Amino acid sequence: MLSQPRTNHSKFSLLLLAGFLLLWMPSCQKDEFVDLSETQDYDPDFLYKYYDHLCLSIKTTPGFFPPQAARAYGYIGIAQYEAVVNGIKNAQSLQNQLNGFSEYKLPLPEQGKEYNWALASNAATAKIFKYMFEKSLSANNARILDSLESQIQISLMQGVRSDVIDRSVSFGQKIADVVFEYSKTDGGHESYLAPFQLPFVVPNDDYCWAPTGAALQPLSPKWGSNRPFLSINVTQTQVVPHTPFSATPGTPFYNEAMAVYGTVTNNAPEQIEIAKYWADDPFMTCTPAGHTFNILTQVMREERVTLAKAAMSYARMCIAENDAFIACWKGKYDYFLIRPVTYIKRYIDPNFATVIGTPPFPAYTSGHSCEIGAGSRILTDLFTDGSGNYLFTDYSQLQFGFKARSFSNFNDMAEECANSRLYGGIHFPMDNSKGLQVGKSIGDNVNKRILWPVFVR
Amino acid sequence: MSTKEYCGRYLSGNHFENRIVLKNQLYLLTVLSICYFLLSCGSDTTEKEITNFARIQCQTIRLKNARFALADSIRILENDTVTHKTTLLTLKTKADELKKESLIVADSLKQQMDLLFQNKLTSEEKKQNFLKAVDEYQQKWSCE
Repeated sequence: MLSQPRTNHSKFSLLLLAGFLLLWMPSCQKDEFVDLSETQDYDPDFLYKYYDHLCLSIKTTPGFFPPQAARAYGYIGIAQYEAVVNGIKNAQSLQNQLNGFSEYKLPLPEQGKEYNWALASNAATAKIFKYMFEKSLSANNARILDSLESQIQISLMQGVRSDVIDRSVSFGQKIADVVFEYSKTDGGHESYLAPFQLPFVVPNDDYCWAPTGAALQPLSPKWGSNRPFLSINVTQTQVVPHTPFSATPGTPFYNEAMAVYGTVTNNAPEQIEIAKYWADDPFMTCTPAGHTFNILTQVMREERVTLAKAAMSYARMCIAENDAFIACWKGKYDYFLIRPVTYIKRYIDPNFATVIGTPPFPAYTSGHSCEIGAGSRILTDLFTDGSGNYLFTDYSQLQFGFKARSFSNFNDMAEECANSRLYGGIHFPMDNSKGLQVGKSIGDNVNKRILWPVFVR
Repeated sequence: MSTKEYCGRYLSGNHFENRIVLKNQLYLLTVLSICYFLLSCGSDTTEKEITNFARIQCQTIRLKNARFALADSIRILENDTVTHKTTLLTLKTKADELKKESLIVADSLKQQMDLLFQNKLTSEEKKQNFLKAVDEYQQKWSCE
């Protein structure tokens, strides 16, 4: 009689223990990586680490101004997507969809052979990352990148057959090699070594951009002739000419300048905070595109997406951001418009001071507005029903001393970012509204003109 | 054996023996529960974590303000680079130092934030509450 209850109680204890273990194990989210044949079966956490390190590398590598940074994101995004696209059901390679890409033959996976798509992605991402910074990657950033690659590979290799590991890693590396060859012909290859693209003769007219700081030459004047990933992103998104230049009070152009002057002189503390928040900070920025990528990463983390969705989302954003800077820079140098600070000092108030520094390139249209316009359309298509409604808080600037900012719609976020340039005193209102328009068209093109897999978790 | 049978037998069996077993089970359950909350991802943040985060964020705020102030100074002097050549060089060296320090502190805050967000502050409500608590410390310490 005594032994029976004890046995039952022991069984109960074992059941309790088993139950506890079952409850505990999944709650820690440390997924074991095993051989799987679909991209959506993998956790994308390792990919986020690369994008975090990319932000750091941009901040700490000379020559990575906004256009150069967006380009680095662009090719990294394409390589990491191509490395996993064959593991996504109904997905198509970008090979025949991007401008000029079909001339470079991507490797195909061996028929009937097993691949670990996470390992392929890791190898491709690490290699293309190194390529994009090749001649300027600091020893410290290279060491972090190498360590990241090997640590991720070790964790992904657990339980995977050696032939699958070798095949997957080799496949990923070959993808990176081909994407790098493709990148060499776009006009921006190694542009970080000479981002001001000299020689360039600065036009000298009343309406023209003039130096606003130490830089006497404008940044990357030939960037607008780079090859975009989608031709229509440049050919069909160019805005109408800006309001005709005039120094006469009461004219539309003068009123644009007065709008900047009035805003800056009456800025509320909140507007100054917004100007600085989106300025992406002196000396510390991974550029406005980097900020948008940080937001994308945060949303994906919160949504707990799979590697398939993360790879696709990054690829979309990478294409959109790269093309947004090309299209925007084309407009900037087609119009070569004066900055508000120069105009206001000349014609309105010689003591005018902006809230934040004016970057060294023409005004029309705003680079921030172009890139956030494009980014907001990508985020809207990926995470909303098309309305843009999405409650989120941007925590990415906490590390730089800012409070987190909350939004309920990606369009609102884009509007705030665009308006921040007005609050900062560095753009006319028309630069921002037209920039948003350019960016949104580019985002829509990337969403609609490229065949992306549907039903990706 | 159904749970009901099990419980019935338990109540009608040797009371003393059963009590010891029950005690052991409760002990096991308590230990496991503590382990669960300590090791799992759902546990609350401690006061130490809040103050530590607030302390680092205070540094990031101080550094941000210093960066913007320095950028303003440089901008003003850049209006006349010839006259202010030496001062500008000094300020740019200072900017490099400030950037290095800012990057270290930013990285430290980001690492902490990532750890907390992934393991403890798993819901939006928890994140907001945590940052609210951090804000209170910052106000108390007048972080600027």
